[in-house]
Parts: sequence; C-alpha cells; structure tokens
Amino acid sequence: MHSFLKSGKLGEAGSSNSPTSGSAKKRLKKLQWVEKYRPKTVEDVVEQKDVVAVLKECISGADLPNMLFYGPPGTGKTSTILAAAHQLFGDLYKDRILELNASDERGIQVIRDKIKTFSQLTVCSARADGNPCPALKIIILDEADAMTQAAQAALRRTMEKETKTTRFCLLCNYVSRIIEPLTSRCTKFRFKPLNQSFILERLQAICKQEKVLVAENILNVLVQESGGDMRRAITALQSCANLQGKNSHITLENVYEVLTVVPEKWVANFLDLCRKRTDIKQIIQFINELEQQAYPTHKIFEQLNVLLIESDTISEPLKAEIGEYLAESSFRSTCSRADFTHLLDFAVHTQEILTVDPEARKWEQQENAKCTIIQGLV
Amino acid sequence: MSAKKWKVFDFGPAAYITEEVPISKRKTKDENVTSVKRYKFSSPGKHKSFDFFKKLAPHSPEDLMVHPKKLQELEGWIKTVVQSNKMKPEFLLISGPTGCGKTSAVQILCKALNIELAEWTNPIDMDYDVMKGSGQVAKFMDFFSESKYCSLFGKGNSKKILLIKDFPNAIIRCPEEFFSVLEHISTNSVHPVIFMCTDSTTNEINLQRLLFPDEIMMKHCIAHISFNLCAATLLKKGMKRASDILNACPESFHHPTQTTIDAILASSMGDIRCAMNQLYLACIIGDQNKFVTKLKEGKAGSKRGKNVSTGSIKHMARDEALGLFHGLGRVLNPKRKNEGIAWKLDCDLQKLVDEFSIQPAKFTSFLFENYLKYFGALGDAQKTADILSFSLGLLENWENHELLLMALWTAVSGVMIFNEHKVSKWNQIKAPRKIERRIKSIEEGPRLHPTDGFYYNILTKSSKYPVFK
Amino acid sequence: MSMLWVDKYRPKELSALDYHIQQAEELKNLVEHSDFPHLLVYGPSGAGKKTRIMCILKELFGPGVERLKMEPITVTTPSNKKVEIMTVNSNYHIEINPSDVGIYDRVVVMDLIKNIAQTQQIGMTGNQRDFKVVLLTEVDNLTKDAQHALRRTMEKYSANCRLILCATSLSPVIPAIQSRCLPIRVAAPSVSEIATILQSTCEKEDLELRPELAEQIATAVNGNLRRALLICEVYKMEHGDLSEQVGEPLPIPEPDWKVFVVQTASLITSEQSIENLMAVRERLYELLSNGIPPEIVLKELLTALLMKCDKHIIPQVLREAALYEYRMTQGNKHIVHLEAFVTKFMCLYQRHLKSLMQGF
Repeated sequence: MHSFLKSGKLGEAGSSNSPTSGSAKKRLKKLQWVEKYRPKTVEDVVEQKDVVAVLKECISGADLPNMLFYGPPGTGKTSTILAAAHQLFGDLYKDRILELNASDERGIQVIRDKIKTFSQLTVCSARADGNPCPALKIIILDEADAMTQAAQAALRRTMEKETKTTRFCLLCNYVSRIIEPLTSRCTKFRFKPLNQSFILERLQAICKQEKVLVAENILNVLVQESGGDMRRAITALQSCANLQGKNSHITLENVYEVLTVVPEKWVANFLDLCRKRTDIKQIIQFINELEQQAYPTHKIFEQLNVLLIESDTISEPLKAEIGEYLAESSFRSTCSRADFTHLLDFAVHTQEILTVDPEARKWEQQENAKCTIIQGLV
Repeated sequence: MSAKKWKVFDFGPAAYITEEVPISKRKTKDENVTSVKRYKFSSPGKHKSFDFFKKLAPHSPEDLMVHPKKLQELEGWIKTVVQSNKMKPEFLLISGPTGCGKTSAVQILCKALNIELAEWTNPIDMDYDVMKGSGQVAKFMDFFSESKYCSLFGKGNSKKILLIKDFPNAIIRCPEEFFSVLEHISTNSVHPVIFMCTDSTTNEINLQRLLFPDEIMMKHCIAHISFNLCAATLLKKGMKRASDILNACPESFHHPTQTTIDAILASSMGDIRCAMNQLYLACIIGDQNKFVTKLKEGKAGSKRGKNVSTGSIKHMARDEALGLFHGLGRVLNPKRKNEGIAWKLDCDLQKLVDEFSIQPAKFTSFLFENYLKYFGALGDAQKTADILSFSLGLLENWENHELLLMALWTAVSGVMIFNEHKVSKWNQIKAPRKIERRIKSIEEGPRLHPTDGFYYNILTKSSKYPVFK
Repeated sequence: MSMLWVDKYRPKELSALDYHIQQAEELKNLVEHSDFPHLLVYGPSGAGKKTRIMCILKELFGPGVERLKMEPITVTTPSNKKVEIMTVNSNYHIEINPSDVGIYDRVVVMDLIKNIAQTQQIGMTGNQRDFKVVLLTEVDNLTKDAQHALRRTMEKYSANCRLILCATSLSPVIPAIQSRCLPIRVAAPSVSEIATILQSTCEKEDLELRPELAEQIATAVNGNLRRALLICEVYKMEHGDLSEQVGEPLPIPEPDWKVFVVQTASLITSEQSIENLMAVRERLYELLSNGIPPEIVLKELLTALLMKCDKHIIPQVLREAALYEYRMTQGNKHIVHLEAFVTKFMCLYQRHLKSLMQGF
C-alpha cells in the first residue's frame, strides 16, 4: 500500500476524494510500516554509500544531476530519493515532486502532457520560511524499466530541454531495459542487495517500537527468506504481527506462510523419492499429496534447486543434468494451472538420472533418436 | 463531364454533393479525384454515351445490396432524429468493411426520405496554411456551424443530416481535438451527424477505436450501426441487376459472360464496389478469354485495396481466384513436383500466405479443424499437430504482425510438407468450432465446480450439468 | 428442494471451522487488529477457500453479508460489445468470476472495481469499516492483461476497496499481485479430517455412518471435501443406509466425466490411427465444451495413460505432456495442444509396441 500515498499525491481518485478527515486520520494511524519506517534523511539510508555521499553534497548546495538508480527490489531506491527530496525542499515537497510509477498510465501521451507541463513550471529558489532551496523540481519515474521504448525515447528530448529547472530520477530493477540514450544522460548508481545484518537490525528496531514479540531465531529466518529485500522483510513482519495479534509471539509457521516458503520436509522428501527407483504410481501419489498442500510450484522448484546444489551425495555432472531439467520445468510451470504435469515430469527425469547408469542412459537416448529418424522416413 | 461521373461512382447521386459543398472545397476535391482516377482508366471513347456507374448505382432502397435488417435500423434512426425537435444534435456511427454500401445506403435513404445530406470533405488546397493542423480543424468546426445557418445554400428544406466520412488528418493525429470538436458541436449545432468509419483489418490506424472510444460513445449518446460484408446472395442479386441493366442497352458494351460474372462473384469477397469495378473492366475490355490468359503471364502482386483495379484483375483470372476455401484446398491437398530425388511443393507459397495474412488466426483454426481428414499416416499427423500447436503459440502475440505472419508460414508450410501420405478424396470443409462455457460459474442454486456436476445431477434428479455418455 | 449437505452444513463463522484451526484464529486477529490488507486465498479445489472467505467477510461486516442477491451487470468493451456478467453481492461485498467473460475480463475487472470504489457507502450504521470488498474467484484464469490492470486498480482504489482473490494455483498469478496481497494458503484437509467431518455431518442428519465407508470416501476424493460430502449424500440416496454393510462393498461413484476420460485413454491405447484420432478429438471437444477445464482434462488423461503404458516410454510421454501443457497455458485454443499431445502419445506408443514385436 505504499502506493496509496503516491496516488493521493497525484490527485488521482483513491484517497484524495475520501470524504472525512476522520477516516483519513484513522488510516494514518494504521500506516504501513514500510511507509512509517522509511528513512527520514539520506544519512539514514543504509549501505548505499556512493549515492548517499553524492546526495549529501547536493543537499549542502551542489548541483543535482539526473540520476538512475538500479538494483533489486527493496534495496532503498525509492526511500533514498524521497528522503533526499524531503531534505531539499522541506514543506514545498509536494509541489516540487512528480512521482509516477508503472501503475499509472505511462505511454508517450503521459510523457508529453504530464511530464512536460510539470517540467515547464517555474519555481523560485526560496522556501516559504525564507530558507534557500534549489530552484528545481524532481520527477521520479518508478519502475522505469516497465516503460515502453517509445515512451523512453520521448523522454529523452524532454530531459534535455528542461535541464534548467527539472531533474529526473529513474528507478528500475534492470538497467538493461532502459535505452542507451537515457542511461547516458543520467548518473547511474547501483543499489546492492542489503546485508542481512542491516535488515535484522532494522527489524529489531521496528519490533521494539511496535511491541512485536518475536524470537531471535525466527527473525533470523525471516531475514534470510526475504533475500536482502528490506520492503519484503518489513511487510512480512507486519503481516505476521497482524496475524498473530497483540501479546503473542510470532511463530515460524507464520513466517513460512507469509513468505510462502515450502517446509523443508516436503522438498527433502521429493528429492529422496527421486533417488530410488520407484513405481510411477508412487510418484503420482506423492505429487498429488504435494499438490493438496497447495505450495506454490515456483517455490518448490526454487528450494529444490538450493537443496540440489548443496547436496554432497550427487556428483557435479549429474547436478548439471538435473539442473537443466529443473530450469525447463520451472519455466514451463510459471503460467500453469496444473503444475502436476511439470512436477511429475521433473520427478521422473530426476529419478532416471539418479538411478540409471549414465552409459545405459546415453545408449537409450541414441536408440530413441534413431527410432525417431526411422519413423520420420517411413 | 467525366469528373462528375467519377463523383457519382464515389458518392452516389452527384447533384446533392456538388450543391452542398462550399465552392472552394468542391473545386479542390474534383481536381484531386479526377487527377488520380482519370489516368487509371484512359477514357474508352465509345462508351461515353453510357454513364456506366450512374446507371448501375442504386436508385432506391430496394436496389441497395445491404442486409434488410441493417437498412431498417438505419432508416429508423434517420426517421426518429429528423422528427425529433431537440435542439441538440444526434450522432450515429456507421462502421463496416470497405465496399459494403455504407455511403450508398445513407445517401439513398436520405433521398428517399427527402432529407438533405451535407458531406464534409477535407480541404486539400493549394493554400498551404489550411493544411497545417489547426487550420483544418477550424474549417472542420466551421462546417458544423455553417451548416447551422446555411439555409441559403440549401433548398429551404429544414431536414438535413451531416455526413462525416473524411476525418481531417489533424484529428487523426490528435484524437483529443476531435473530442473537443464533438463537445463543441453537441452544444452548438442542431443537425444530426452521421460518422462513417471503415473497418480496417490491418493494424494501421483504426479510426473507430481511435476516435470513438467508449467514454465518448457514452458521453454523447452516439448510436452505432455496424455493417457486415456484402453477403454472397446479395452480391449475386446485385450482379444480376447490373447485368440486366447492361443487357438493356446492348449497343455500347461487350457483355460479360456468365463465367466472368461467377469469377467476379467468387473473388470480390463481399466488396460490392470492387465487384462493380471488375464488371466495368470486363465490359470495356470485352474479350474475356484473351484478357484472362494475358493476365496469367503478368504478375499482379499488389495487395487488394491499395490498388483496386490490379487487385481485381488478379482475382478475375479464374485460376488465381483464391477464396478462403480454395486456399484451404490448396494447403490441405498439396501438389508436389519431383526434381530428381528431391521434391518441391508445386505452388506459390508466398501468394497463399499473402492471401490469408489478414486473418492468420482464423486460417490456422480452419487448418486445424480440417487437416486430419487429409492425412493418411499417423506420423505425418503427429508432426502437423505439433507444428499447428507451435504456430498457435506464436499467434498469441497478436500485437506483433510480423510474428503472426511467421506463425501462418509455419502452419501452412507444415501442413503441406508433412502430408506425405495424402488422402485424396472430397471432404467437406468445416468451420472451426467454438468452445463456449455452457455453465457459467455463478448461477442460481448451489455453486459447484463443473467437475462435481455429476453428483448434483444425481442428488437433484435434474440435468443441469451436462451428462457424458 | 432441500439444500445440499455441502451448503447446509457449511461453517458460517471462523470459530466454527473444522480444520486449520490455528489459521482461523490468525485470520480473526487479522480482522480485528489491523487495517485489512488485500488477500490472496489459494488452495486446491474443495479445500474450503470459499468457506473461509465468507467467514472472513462475516467477521468483517457482521451478518449483513449473508443477505446475498444475484445481479447481472453489463459492461461495454472498447470494441463496443456489451458483456454481461453475473455477480453475487451483499451490501458490503460483490463477487464475480471474471473468467466467465473470457478475453473481456480486463474491462470487467477495471470497470467493476472503479465503480465500487467510487461509490461511497452512505448510512452504514453500526459498521466501522470504510471499505467494500471485491471478491474475485478463479484469478488464476485471468489473462495477463487483466492482471496488470488489476494491479493498477488495486493500488489506485485501495482507500475504499479491498480485494480478496481466490485461486487454485499461484503460478499464473503475476508476482506484482502476489507481493501486494497477504497470501492465505488453504491446504486440503487430510483423510482423517475429511472422515471426521463426514461423521459429524451424518450425525447432524441423524444418520449413522460406518467408519470404513467414511474412510473409503475420504481416500477416494483426493482431499476434495466438497466432493466427499456430495458422494456421501449420493451414497445415502442410492443405498439408503450408511450404517450397515449389505453384501459386497459398493464402489464409490466416480464422476461421469472422469469415466469418460478413462474411456478416452483406452480408446487411445486400443488403436493408433487417424480415424481413432478423429474420434478422440470429438471426445475432447465434448469434455471442453461441457466446462471441464483443459488442464484437468490433460492431467486426468495423462494419469490414465501412464497407468497403461510401459515404463520405458514414461519419461518421454511426460516430456511431451509438459511441453503441450506449457503451450496450452500460452493460448486459449486448448484443443489443438491436447490433440497434439494425443497424437504424440499414439506415435510413441505405437513405436514401442513395434519395438516389442521386433524383440520377439
């Protein structure tokens, strides 16, 4: 819901036309923690040293460049630029910032109209209270990699023309999806995945503030499973706290459910099943049971992959072979409503690889290939 | 004047338009049209006495080759708007493929009901300023307001309908402007307006989608009538009427033989204007046999629609007449040419694919529905099934036209090449079946998954859910 | 007609749920203590997703949500086609199944949510919630287009509208939606849980159910509680008495479409020829047009075929099945891919038979 603040700012439907200030206040009280615990100043931003150094300079008076932040989700891209903007503009913040994310329509038309009109506004170089502030506006384009190529191209010209009064800040996950002319106009900063200890620290602080009861080791699991994504970790923590209610401890199951992690035993059983030569009925039975648990298939494959890589008992060449199947099955199951087929396919092939002698398998494959050719000729 | 003649063919009764359109506009229009079209048909001297298209053009609603239902609908609309005394204009949008008789229908009906019809034409002027953006739009606006006060031009007849067929380029470039124009005229004008859009099957500009999105349609209460392709029976009727008229004045024309007419019918694909063009061509050239054979040698490869006359010639040579079914037959019954040990497909694959490039998905569905009957060996069928399934995957990327063509290529060549054990017998071609969910998920009574319907049937002794044998 | 047991004994309160009790408690906490998030409820068919959702709604809004009415709404698409879709709604929520309208799901989703979100609730006394709930079922059937639209709308209108999404499988749901919802996993009940529920249901009906039969039904339904209850009721109707076993143990009635699929499988293995293929196509058409989802057709067909074929060709058959299953998810002409799979299977099977012959 970190978007509902944004949409309010844009004057879209949503919260801007919500009727009473009373309900707005109530909502404020129940603010998402992600919003509530956003860093207030750039100094609070953890770990992204380069960008923090540059922004500090800008806040103390240097010229602000156009910027491109890229990196995995939840590493603080939005937080950083928002904090910087707050520090730069103070109360004028609302007038000086245009924030667009992929959830708003962002075709060429928007680039032309919204962005152009916004960038053509002139601003003065002082705040209401007399403090100086740069005569600039900032346009933040969140999820810029979701913009169409045409829209990006349209942006190029605008960016150049309005350099006097406007700075752009593009945020994206994959810099490769931004067209070259745009990247060359921006100072690029890479956001690295956060170190787990930082996330843990932050979560602990939040727990203290919000009076959430959680054991150290469970918090550790949460941090681990969220994979360096601060937002995901905080959202998960809040969800867990909401599910558990006041005055009770968050359980490991909560964390697993919220982050849709498949319990270790299912994944381990899966791999064990593949090590023995079993009847097809047995595998079907197992897959059916697994399906009844409704774990998301991509998670199963993901965790199988980890288990496979860490396994000491499977030789490296075999791992490579299984990995190939794993990749394909996992890809094919991404849109599937019947994961059964893909899980079964993978299980049977892994079993084949792990139980049949490689030489025999090679021979069989050749035989099969031969048959196919012969069949083609007849 | 031959210029006038062409106008007739384009817009129906000439008198109307020439009187309505302001002088400057008319002039430019005429220049434009004649300069293009006159050159195409270097005027055949001896036919001057007979104004072909004027004679053949429909004169009364009965002559129109439009589905009676649609005609009724249109007539109803015109009658009601003319009678209503609202000081607000009514809008109607007519859409349909090229040459299905949209314009003629409007014109004939207006004539029959004694209503004036004023048509907007884009000013294509030497005056360069007008061409540029807003000038054109301003003129466009003028058209509406002018028509409000123009009883001087008219015949003192207060019943009047405006027809917009040509949309100014400026508007196409920027639909917002059109919306504001609509806004303007809905308050400032009183005459009913008919907009006319041609359906486009290619993914170029689709006027209807561009200029008449839902909000606009709703906001201004724009009625919508969509015409279909001229049905085969209607087309036949039209051709018969045309040849009857021709037979009535035997001196000036070569008479098209029945075979020629059949060929025209088969190839015009529901486009009655195209059919008339072909007929005219056949009439002036005369010796059909010579004409057909001669054209076989020359390659007439341009797409239909861009250049009507060459397109129609291509169709008229009977060998080349490829309706959908004919094309399917070609693909399902591939002919081979042996060259030593190797073999080649004996047909112009490019042409086949071109022919169906308008609707790749439909054609592929047809192929799927019918291919099995032409296959003699399971192995061949398997490869074909695989290639069809693959090409359907490609067809899902409907926004990329290149990819669609690629899918069509794979499907067509797959079906032709893999059919090694051909079954050559006559088979009826079936249209692809549509699968519709007969059970909607939300209905009265308990909501069950379709897979549990069996038990429901037993318990309630009903047959709400389908039963399998 | 009296209600089916499935509906009659459906739990109405979170506290009345029979299994996943821990989860029920947590859901209660969620409703009481927080700004209610968007939910994504997922789990296999018949595991009780809908029951839980209705319980949550009741917990949120009180008994008012049980006053349901059916109402069709009409939406106009950009191509000016009018699409009608059935909704079930109360004063507090509205339920639709967007996949009913096929490719027009995007328009329906956007329009509906926009309408709901823009109409404020006025005069709702005794109800402190300032939002309505939109319940979308079968979100895994939504087109990608519709899902992206959904994501946009759910951000835009989150102030006065909450979504509860219901899906069988998470895979087709785009990550952007997953990350904006709180996932609620509803696993299928275990065999013993189903058996217990069957027992308690029969008790309420003043019937005696012999434990072996309960067990037998529970095992047969693969975790589908709804089907278990239906079968139990059918059993009662057909055989009258559930307590005593008379003569031979009677078989659990299989749904007719499943029998149909198994017959189709036998048809495929009985003879591999073009004629047979055409017959199979007819049968596939019949299954699909009668509303059996294509992925279930493929799954059941595959299972049936695997039972019949030699273990040497199993890996290959599966490889092909997975390929065509994947292609099937990419488009909506399912029949083509199903047929391609059947043809491929026929070829593999035939070839295997031939190689066996040569071996002798």
